[in-house]
Amino acid sequence: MKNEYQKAAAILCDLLELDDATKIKISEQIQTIGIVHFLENPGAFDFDPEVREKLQTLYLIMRYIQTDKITDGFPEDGGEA
Amino acid sequence: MAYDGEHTSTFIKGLALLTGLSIRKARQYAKDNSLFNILEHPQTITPNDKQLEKIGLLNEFISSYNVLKMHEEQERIKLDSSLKAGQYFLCLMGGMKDKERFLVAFLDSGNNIIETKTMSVGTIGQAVVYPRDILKAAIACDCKSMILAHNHPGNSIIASSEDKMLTQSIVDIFHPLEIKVMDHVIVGGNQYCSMAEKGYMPDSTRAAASYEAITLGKDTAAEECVVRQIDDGEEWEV
Repeated sequence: MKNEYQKAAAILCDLLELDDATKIKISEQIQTIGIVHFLENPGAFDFDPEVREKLQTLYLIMRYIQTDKITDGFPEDGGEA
Repeated sequence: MAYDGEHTSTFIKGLALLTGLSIRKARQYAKDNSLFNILEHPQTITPNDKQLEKIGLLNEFISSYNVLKMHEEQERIKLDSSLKAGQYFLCLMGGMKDKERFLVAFLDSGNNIIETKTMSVGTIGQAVVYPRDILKAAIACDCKSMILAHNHPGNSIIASSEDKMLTQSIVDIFHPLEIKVMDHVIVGGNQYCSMAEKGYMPDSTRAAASYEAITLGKDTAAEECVVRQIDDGEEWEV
């Protein structure tokens, strides 16, 4: 899974326009504590305020998307007749 | 998708911040369409090349996040040494300089993390910890052991008398339940101190357990715990 973590860190850094040093830092952090915990605690890391704001925004968007999936769920009657 | 205006507005603002899309255009689109269409069919709002590239990256990240999330739910993080515990909590709290926080990692019989919970968030100088809340959380997740951790926003690595008193109190509460307190990690700046590694972890006193709240951080006459970053840690038996 190491490659997956590195890939996720690389995408994240391209998306947020972060430098290579930050990319390495994020990659190490998400491998250690997990990507879920990382995004849930965007204020916990020693990033500058702009990066934190972007991470917090990304977390809100991810929550929005995840919540929607949970809310939609499967139809209780098994779908259309 | 049934969301209130606040959720929609937050989503649109976030999307604009991350991709550079026009808020006005996204709001206009959201009046008659699902906002997820913007991610799934970005051409519907005619983005420019850079915006399109960013939407693509956001979609890639969502996919990658979902894969890793599934993996993390299946494979738990193992904290089987003071080194791993220290690194773990350093990652979680290394940058926290605004408030003092007290966290507990609850472990199963293989020292895998069942869950890590923030038990207290205080001010920049102190945090009040309620042992009964830790007891409730430990019972709820059926853990076999736990690791305590808190940060010092002032960056010092100091084991105060309150830190030791709290550790003793938690050990005394959990000893009769055969739940072991493996370590208490103190994080300050980019360093940490493992009380287990330094031999500061107490045995049970056999005294009646106290559930009184303990305030961390108010003590001034503290004893320094040797500062460490990354070194060989103490291995724990599984």
